[in-house]
Amino acid sequence: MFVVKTPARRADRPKPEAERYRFGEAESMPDDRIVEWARGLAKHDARAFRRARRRFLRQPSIKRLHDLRTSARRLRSLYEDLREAVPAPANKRLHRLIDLTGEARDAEVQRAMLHAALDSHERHAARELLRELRKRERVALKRIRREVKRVNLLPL
Amino acid sequence: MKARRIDLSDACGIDDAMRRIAIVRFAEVLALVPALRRGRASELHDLRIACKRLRYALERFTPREPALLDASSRLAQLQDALGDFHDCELLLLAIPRTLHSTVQRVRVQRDDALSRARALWRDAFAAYGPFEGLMRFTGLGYGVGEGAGGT
Repeated sequence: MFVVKTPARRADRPKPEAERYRFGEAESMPDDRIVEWARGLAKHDARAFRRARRRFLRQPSIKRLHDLRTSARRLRSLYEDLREAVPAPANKRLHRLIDLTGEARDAEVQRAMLHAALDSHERHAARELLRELRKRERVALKRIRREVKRVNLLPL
Repeated sequence: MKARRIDLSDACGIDDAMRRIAIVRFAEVLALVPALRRGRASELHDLRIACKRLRYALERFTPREPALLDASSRLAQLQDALGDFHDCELLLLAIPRTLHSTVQRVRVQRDDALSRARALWRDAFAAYGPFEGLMRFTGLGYGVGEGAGGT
């Protein structure tokens, strides 16, 4: 006898874990007080991220880049700690943004450190490296402006 | 280094959830602390990331558990010192070797940053020191201060 296998209907397919937590179907879901608390924390951090993003996009600066980076990292750390209680958003985009802000920050810090450490007679020889670091920073900032708009946070 | 997953499924309330998170993140830091003695850049980088995770978690908890405030500020200082070390390492990789005196100066800065990190870690475990509240909260870290905190 032939058994014809049909692809499982969307409704029959197992839901991803985060979705199961969300709808209260997972057996191992943390208790309601924890979920409520975790959502409060996530809302707070998401608001801080959105604020930092708005400020950065309005007028990028080193200070605003630092704020954007810090708020994005806090958000990622929160999802790592409380992933059982709050569904994570599109994490890949967030990770990518953090990497890019790291590149810009590293280039900026290295340039400042190099400036401070350079001997007057070695300044000329370091010109190329300083230029390269400046370029790296500019490129990263440009990519951040593009990428930061793509980070979507789930409504909680 | 990837963050360990924390099981909160059978946590009894918010305080217990906070404690579980702090225990896992503090244990991650303690496991990586021998890097301070060895001074290897990649291990110190992992330690910095682990300190950052623990610090962010503690900062979230301080409104409910103010005793963790000192530990989070000490972790911020430690993270800064390790960050300076990391920045110097990156710069040393980029600087042409022909810039002798600049290379030398950055090396001195790097070594200073590492000494600072070692001292911050060691002092954190002193009696009534910044980690006292964290140790009491998690039950971890007792005996680490003796023997210079693995440094």
